[in-house]
Amino acid sequence: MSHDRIVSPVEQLYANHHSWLRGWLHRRLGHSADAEDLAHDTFIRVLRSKHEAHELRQPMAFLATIANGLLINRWRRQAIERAYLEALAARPVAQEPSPEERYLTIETLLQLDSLLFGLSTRVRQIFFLSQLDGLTYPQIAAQLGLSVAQVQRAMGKAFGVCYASCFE
Amino acid sequence: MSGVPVTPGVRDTAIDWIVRMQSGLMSAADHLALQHWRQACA
Repeated sequence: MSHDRIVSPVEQLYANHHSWLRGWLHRRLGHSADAEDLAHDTFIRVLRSKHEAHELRQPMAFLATIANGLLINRWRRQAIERAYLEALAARPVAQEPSPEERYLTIETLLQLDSLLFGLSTRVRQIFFLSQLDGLTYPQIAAQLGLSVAQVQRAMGKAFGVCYASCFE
Repeated sequence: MSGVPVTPGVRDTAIDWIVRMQSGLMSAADHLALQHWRQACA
């Protein structure tokens, strides 16, 4: 009696390309544990994807596209964490937030970044100057060399995205 | 939140008002117009 079992398309994809993907990620990250993590996350995405693994004509390109998106997310996250920690380092020690506060702040910043990711850098910059730094529109306009009307248009776009994220 | 669907027109006007309120540049007449708009949409 044969004990061969049917291998699912995703298992086949994993068997054929996991090693290649890990190496591909390792070359970009320079760290084997991180590469392993992202390779794992890539296959989780494949499992959740609506694409059928057995129908893929270019499986390596498919995997690379997913992995590249995860890489970009990871770099964005690191950039945000780094910026936040730099801002913290510039503050007096007495104002240092607890680890929980740090975590919540970084998570909030990540959510905001993700929310506003589709907007232009300028619109995001204006939104953050207004909502995080508390600058008035005329102050933002003066700082960026824009008119107040341009700042208002940018804020309208940003609020539109916030609204869509919450209610649509 | 009431859960009542908001039409795109109302949404866009509401966003426009939020922006104008935040700008700190609203005149007394603007505040009055906002009040009227809110009453009309209620």
